[in-house]
Amino acid sequence: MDKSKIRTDLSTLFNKVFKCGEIEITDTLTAADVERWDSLSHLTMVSEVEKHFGIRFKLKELTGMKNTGELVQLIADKTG
Amino acid sequence: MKLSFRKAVEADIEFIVEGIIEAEKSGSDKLPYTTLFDLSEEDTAKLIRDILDEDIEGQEWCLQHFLIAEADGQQAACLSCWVEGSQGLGSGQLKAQAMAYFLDKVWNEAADKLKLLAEMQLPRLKGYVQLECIYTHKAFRGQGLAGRLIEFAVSEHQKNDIDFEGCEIQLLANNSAAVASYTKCGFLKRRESTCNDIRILDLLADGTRISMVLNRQNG
Repeated sequence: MDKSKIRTDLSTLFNKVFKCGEIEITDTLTAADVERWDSLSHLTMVSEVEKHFGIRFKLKELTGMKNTGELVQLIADKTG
Repeated sequence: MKLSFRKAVEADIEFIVEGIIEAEKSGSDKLPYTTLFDLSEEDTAKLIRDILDEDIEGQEWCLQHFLIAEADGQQAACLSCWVEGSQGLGSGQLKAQAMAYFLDKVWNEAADKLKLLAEMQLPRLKGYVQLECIYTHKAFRGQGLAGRLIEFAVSEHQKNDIDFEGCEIQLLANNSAAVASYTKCGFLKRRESTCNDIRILDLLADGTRISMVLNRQNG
């Protein structure tokens, strides 16, 4: 899947989960930049991303992710 | 008594599991994973072992973050220390991710209880060395071992980390002995967070969480 489409979809999902309004999904965006991105909402976000893109992350992939740039790359790799 | 400090190795895992469980009880008989997820102490030990095996850096249940104090060659005390946010995600997110992965449906079923816990969550200070799972075996208590191990952890980070800003410890307010011990080591109470829902006391030994900090300048 095209990375710009992934970013657009993520922006909608992030708004739904973190209630953060329109948010630009940059490669350097992290949990520290989003006010309601805590440990519980993080898990909701992961679950929503898996459902939306029809993918499943491995634990190592999830815990090794440093920013949304890596999340976008992972989704792109999994969706082909 | 001959005292020495070292990094943890695989042979320390059972001691560390015991330490995590005792530290989580916060000086009470209440183990949060029993009250939250209806896990037995044995199942909790297995969950901790599973997460330690994954070696997930940046959160407390990671073998390579543990230090061990030995007294006359015996494991006597342990603690976990890591720099918050060094792996991108915060330690809370990493640990929650690992727990949800292993507990699966059990995690989802505890959603309401987890929301109560989230009410008293204190975001850890990014870039600060976090000290957690501080435990002294009962045979070695009352000799200041935990304090010595904390001093060792702090001095190692001060020596090796040019960006060292300070250390943070988070604990439940009921643990006054631990608060006194950390104050003696130079830590100051920085902030606290309380869950006002009385049901929190079914889950934890106290409804207030405290953050204590040792900044570089007063270290």
